[in-house]
Amino acid sequence: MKSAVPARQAGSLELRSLRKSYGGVVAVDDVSLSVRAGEFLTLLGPSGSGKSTTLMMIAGFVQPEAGSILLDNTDLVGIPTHKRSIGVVFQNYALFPHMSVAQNIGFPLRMRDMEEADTRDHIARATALVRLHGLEERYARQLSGGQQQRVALARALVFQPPLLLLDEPLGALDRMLREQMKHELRRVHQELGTTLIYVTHDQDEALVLSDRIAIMKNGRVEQIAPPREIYERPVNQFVAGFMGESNFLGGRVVGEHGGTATVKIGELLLQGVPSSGIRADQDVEVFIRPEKIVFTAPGDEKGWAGTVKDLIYSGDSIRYVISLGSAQVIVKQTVRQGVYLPARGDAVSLSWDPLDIILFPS
Amino acid sequence: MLKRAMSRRALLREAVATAALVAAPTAWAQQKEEPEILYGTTGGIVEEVQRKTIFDPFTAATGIKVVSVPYPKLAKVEAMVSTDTVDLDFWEIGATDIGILGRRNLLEPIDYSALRSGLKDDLITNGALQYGVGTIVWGAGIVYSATEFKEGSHPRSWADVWDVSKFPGPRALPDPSYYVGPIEAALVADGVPVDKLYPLDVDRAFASLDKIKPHVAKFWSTSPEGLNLMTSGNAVVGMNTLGRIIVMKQQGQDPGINIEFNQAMAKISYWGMPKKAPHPKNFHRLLDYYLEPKNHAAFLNAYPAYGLTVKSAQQYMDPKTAASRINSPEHLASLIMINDDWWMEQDSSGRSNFEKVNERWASWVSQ
Amino acid sequence: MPKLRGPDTVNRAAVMLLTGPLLFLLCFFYVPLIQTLWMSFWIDGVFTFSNYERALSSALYLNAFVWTFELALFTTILSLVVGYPVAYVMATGGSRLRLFILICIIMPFWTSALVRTFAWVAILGREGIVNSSLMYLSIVSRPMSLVFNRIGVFIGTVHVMLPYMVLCLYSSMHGIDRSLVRAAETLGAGRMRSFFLIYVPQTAPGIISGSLLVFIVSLGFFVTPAVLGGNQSPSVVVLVERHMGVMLNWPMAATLSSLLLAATLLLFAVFNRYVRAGHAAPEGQGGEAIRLYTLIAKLDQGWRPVRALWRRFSPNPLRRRRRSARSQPRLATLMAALIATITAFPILLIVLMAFFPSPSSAIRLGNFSLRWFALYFTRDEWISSTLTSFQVALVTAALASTIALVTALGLRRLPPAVRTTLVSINLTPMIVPAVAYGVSAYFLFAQIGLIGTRISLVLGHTILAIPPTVLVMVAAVQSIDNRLEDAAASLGASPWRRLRHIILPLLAPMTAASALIAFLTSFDDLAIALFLTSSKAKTLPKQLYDSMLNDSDPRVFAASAVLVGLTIAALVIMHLLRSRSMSERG
Ligand SMILES: Nc1ncnc2c1ncn2[C@@H]1O[C@H](COP(=O)(O)OP(=O)(O)OP(=O)(O)O)[C@@H](O)[C@H]1O
Ligand SMILES: [Mg+2]
Repeated sequence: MKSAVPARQAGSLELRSLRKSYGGVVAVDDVSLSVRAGEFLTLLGPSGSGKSTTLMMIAGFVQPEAGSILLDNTDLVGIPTHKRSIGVVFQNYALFPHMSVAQNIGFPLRMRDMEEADTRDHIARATALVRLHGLEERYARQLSGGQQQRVALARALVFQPPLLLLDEPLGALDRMLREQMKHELRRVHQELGTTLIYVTHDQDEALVLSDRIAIMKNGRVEQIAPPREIYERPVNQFVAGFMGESNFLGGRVVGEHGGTATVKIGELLLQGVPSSGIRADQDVEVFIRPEKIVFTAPGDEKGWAGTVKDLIYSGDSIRYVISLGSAQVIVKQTVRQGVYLPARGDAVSLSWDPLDIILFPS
Repeated sequence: MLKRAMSRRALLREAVATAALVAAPTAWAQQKEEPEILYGTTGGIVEEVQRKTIFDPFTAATGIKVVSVPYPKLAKVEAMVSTDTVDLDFWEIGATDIGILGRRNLLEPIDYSALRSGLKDDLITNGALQYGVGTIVWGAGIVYSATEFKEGSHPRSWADVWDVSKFPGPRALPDPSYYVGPIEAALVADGVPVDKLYPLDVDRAFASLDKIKPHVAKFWSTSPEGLNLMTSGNAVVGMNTLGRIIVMKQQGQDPGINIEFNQAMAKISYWGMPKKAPHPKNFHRLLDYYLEPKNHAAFLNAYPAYGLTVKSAQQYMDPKTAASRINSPEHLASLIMINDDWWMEQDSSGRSNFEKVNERWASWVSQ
Repeated sequence: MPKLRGPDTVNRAAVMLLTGPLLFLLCFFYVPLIQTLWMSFWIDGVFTFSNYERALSSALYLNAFVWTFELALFTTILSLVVGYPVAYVMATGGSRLRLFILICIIMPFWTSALVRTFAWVAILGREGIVNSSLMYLSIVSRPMSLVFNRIGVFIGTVHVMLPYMVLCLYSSMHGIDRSLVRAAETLGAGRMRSFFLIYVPQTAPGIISGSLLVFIVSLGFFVTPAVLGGNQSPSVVVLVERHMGVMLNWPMAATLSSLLLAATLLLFAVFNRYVRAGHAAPEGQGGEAIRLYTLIAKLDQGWRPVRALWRRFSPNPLRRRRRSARSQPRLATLMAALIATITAFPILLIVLMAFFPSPSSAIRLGNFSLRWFALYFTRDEWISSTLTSFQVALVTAALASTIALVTALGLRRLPPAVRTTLVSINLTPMIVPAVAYGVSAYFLFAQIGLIGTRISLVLGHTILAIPPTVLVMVAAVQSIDNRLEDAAASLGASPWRRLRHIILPLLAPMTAASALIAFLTSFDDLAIALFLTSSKAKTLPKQLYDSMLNDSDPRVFAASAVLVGLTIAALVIMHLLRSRSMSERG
């Protein structure tokens, strides 16, 4: 299929030691990352971690104190926003209330003094791309939230920017619409191949859409990697805890040999755990995802004995809160025929693959 | 000569006034009054001097207090009279105002029988009208910048004011909606003798004004506006109220402006009383008190910018102030007395010369 | 079940709200006014149209009408151009800058029209500070003509109209979403273009209400064009005043007033028909913005060739960078600060002159004296007239802003045609020459025994203040998003509680602004005061006017200086208290 608006080839972005503070607060602290042309990068992090500030520096609303922003190897610092040609979709959409849908979408073309006929053509293709036929003459007030979102997207895309920034664009939508728009966004990205930087609080969105995810905290990038790696190989306790569900158990390395360690958690002993960068006699946090733990038959010698304290049903799965003496873990069990599903108060035995465990220094 | 200048209308008015005097005994003669008089005034220096020299002694002598009320516009006087809410016993007005108000029966005639006998003959010409008694004479004349022209080589006549090669610099003249106008000045500048001015030759006046117009910075409409033109350096010679500058100098202010009495123009101001005024008897007592030659002189000596209306007061006048008094004997010869009767004269359509000149002026000035 | 917003409920609420204000207008304005205007048809007891014939056939009167409308129109346009950057900076700048500008632009109201125009004559004149500096710097060799011509007139009129325009504009800028301008920048609009294509259209309601307001207030200019203008024809109000005040020709004064009223209303009708009507805006909101945008977009289109050339010859856009672009002071801030300073300048000059024995000795600093202040503080006429003016203006501000608020709420959800008509009814008091209303009011108050009281002044000034306050409040109410109220209704708020907790708090800043406008209108009025003042109630403008005409000394300057000082002190203290309480809270 011929893409609606042919994308520009370039669009690679590189941030080098970017820094920005407001008064005493450091909003962005030494951020470096590079984004390939056509890549979909998601910025994820707690509130106030500097995601929006990073985006604003790229867009040119905010001047960095230090560092550089290279778009296709040209430094953007000091170049006014309107000369950067970067598409931005705002959280509140920022549609111009005094312009119709067509005028909103046509605005960037008008700024570039495009010919009438071309303009009409581009608007038509952009409206088709976001499926907005028939609404061209309406005003923003007369549109639903999802429709407004699409107008904002079409407007940011119609001038074929090499790079598109989206700051929580789906934040204001209901769940159904979010779901729908998520797929729309994915489709548009695949069709156009525009480089995309996306800010969200929704981990699902991040995992579904992104080529890579950057996790931010206190103005720094903690980890940048493909979704699967972020999820399965978090580099630190923060990333591990931020993405998905997790169990952390306080322990101590009692033996280390050839990349595997033996860890003691209370009375319990854990063997054969991968131990890169961990020394013996070190206090550690033992990390394991709830879905990596399984129930074995009760009374299993090798398994850990515990009791079901509580269980939470959530459709496709059940989360068990298991008490292991002094510690406590969560176990996620998919509901399927033939799977053992204990009840509250049952004594159970747990097991896992030591390779699924990650040790973080305390 | 002055007789001839006076219109038929004025003579008629005098006749009516005398008739009214003889015929109707004044309606208010028997009424009882509170011991006060309401004086419509704009306040300020004149009133301060009036209080010190007339009102306070009067109150001491009679127990009647003089209370200040805001100076009314003519329209307000009519509104007061027609709604029976007259909050005013007397105020200072010009002959034109007396003409307008009198014609509409908005003024109470002066009861000359309640005043000292022989007063009418003791007042200057046109000083005793049916609806008003002349209380002061004020004037406007040539004013010039003290820095621009040395005293002695300054403009001394209206012809000099019109002579821009001899006395260069912008002029500040009034427009004819002001009490004393540029029409008389224009005619005198053009060579009309001071005593042969009226009836005014309006065509000749505008022809004369044509010559000076390019050199007039501004035709002003209030005296402070005209003064401001001079003090701000926008004009170096022109016409203005002389009293204002005299008082400024007396107060120790330096306006940077000098005055010339030759060919000054003078007008009489009157005290008039509206119909239904609450204290007519008290007003006549005050009038009588003030027009007593000694009292009249006491006020004028304290306020030397004004001239007398009571001839017999001359003997009490302070000779030191004669130079600044508009109608003192030394200035009288070249003085132009403004003839309000001519200005108020109406044609068959009921329009006065004042209206006609102003209308003609408006189209002339914007050309 | 009560309907949320059925047509019946709307109309009933509107009738309830509008009855009071309309009755007020009817009793205290329309009835007495119509009595006065009725005189225009009578000459010596005979009903006739001859006054109208005379007015419409005389070049004097026709020229007066042309000049009056020309004056109002150009004053409006210039006030808009000058006021826009000022309002913009007030809306976007810091609170200290806002305070400074506010203090500056309301300064002209603390002195009489005569005094402030005289100050302009001195500043702009042949030997004024402008010409002397230009000549000193050898920029010009002969003094320029800056006064006694149209330039002087418009400097003087814009000077006084600025607060009216700025407050209206400010009200519409207040709530503009800044992210829209940012969005435009990301789409390739430079600062200029995003300002004109995005920001300016959103302020259309403020532009319209400000222009309307300045236009009608400017119809009443009396002293300013007469003193600062050259040899032009007199304006209509000057003629009305001359017929009424000097010649007692009431029928002619009434004729001219009626004609002015009729011509202005006709102009409004045309304006509404062609400029405001017929837009396809949703829910009637935002139509003005759309129209204005269409207009500006057309102009923008005309610049295409220029931009094409520019692109051709300018280097690669990514090369031209602005270092620390956002930290440099904005052009608008500089302009606004300059305009505010110029506005304050004549008044500061007057304040300065109050300290010297005579105006011309102000240069010799050794003559410093406080004698005029002593005069001000020891003369009862000055103190009492100042107090009266403050009392009357404060009560007027409260009354007028309440009436305007109620009126605007009543008009809120009425059909546009009805609304326009009712707004016109509310604007009339300012279109009719104030002298004509002053006389009418005298007759009315005489009949009901209020003559000479402060109440009569309050009522008269409230009538005068209704047009500007209603205009401001209608614009403010229209800018409220209906959805907010619907949201509150959905949360269970009754109409009264919606009003109290949603609408009124949103309107609070503009209610304050309208009260300020009412205060200034009352504080500056001379025309009505000429008729309604008495020995017991004399206002300051009347006192200033009397003193100016009567005293040859600058005690009026001292009075202005005291007022300027008081205002600055009051505003600064308010500002400090507010920022103190804010810092205590958080
Ligand atoms: N204009 C500003 N002035 C002062 N501090 C600011 C400003 N903008 C942001 N900050 C601060 O900078 C830090 C980073 O803010 P930023 O908006 O980038 O966070 P964020 O990651 O986008 O958060 P959220 O997910 O809540 O949107 C925060 O501590 C914030 O309080
Ligand atoms: Mg954010």
